Amino acid sequence: MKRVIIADDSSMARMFIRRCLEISGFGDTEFFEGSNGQDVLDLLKEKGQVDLIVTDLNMPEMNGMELLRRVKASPRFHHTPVLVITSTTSDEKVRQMEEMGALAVLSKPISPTALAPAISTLVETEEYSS
Amino acid sequence: MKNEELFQAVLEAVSETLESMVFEEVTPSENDASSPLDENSIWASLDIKSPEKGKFAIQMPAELAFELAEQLFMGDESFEMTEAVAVDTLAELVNTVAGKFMSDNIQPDQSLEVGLPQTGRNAPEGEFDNVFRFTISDSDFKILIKGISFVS
Repeated sequence: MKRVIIADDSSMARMFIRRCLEISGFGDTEFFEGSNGQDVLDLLKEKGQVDLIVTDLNMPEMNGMELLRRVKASPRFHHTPVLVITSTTSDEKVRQMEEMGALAVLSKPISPTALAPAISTLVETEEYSS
Repeated sequence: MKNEELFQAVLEAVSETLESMVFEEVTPSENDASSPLDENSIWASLDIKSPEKGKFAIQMPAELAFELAEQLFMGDESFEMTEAVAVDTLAELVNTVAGKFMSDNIQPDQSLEVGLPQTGRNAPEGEFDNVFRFTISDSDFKILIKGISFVS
């Protein structure tokens, strides 16, 4: 079973992301949810390693960019794939987050079609290893 | 951007967002944009901080927000419909629609920064430069915009 953390300050957005993930290959998955970056860090401490973190960019308290920076700076979690989903993106920000190690940066509204290519390597890896 | 071009750009952002989220078609309303919506309306707005200050808001009857939220959560056994869920749905909608609209229409070298969604009952306060009215699921809703003269 895969383990995924979804971070978004909107419960509706978290649910929508979860559904898209389920359709895109993360069916047998345990999902954990947080409403900001700090929640994700707390979940990582509590739950340990996960297969994927999906985070919104614009969140209160700790935004997705800071979360990405903190995860990639962590000796324990820096290999964890981080997918950023945002409604407000610019080419420069996308490039910056990709340089910081984001798996991909996707624009809202997301759909399973848009999500699938970004996470295909994770799904294939899991299927292969199982 | 001329008013008709602005309208089309907003329609495109609204349509793509709602059609991908709830699979419902959005059409221009036949009603006058300035006429009031249902008395029991809720709204969500997003402050635009950069490249210039502005505001983007959605106002819709609470009943329509409930209906959209129910469609989004359909099949989710843990789902319990509350006003908070409807308001959250509207906040996410304004976030997504405004983000898409702005991202599609600012210059590549302009940076986009927004605030966090604000929500409330009735109509959003303040003056808006443009008010557009659309229909979804046989109900009208409004998009209100302030200060986006910088879009291309």
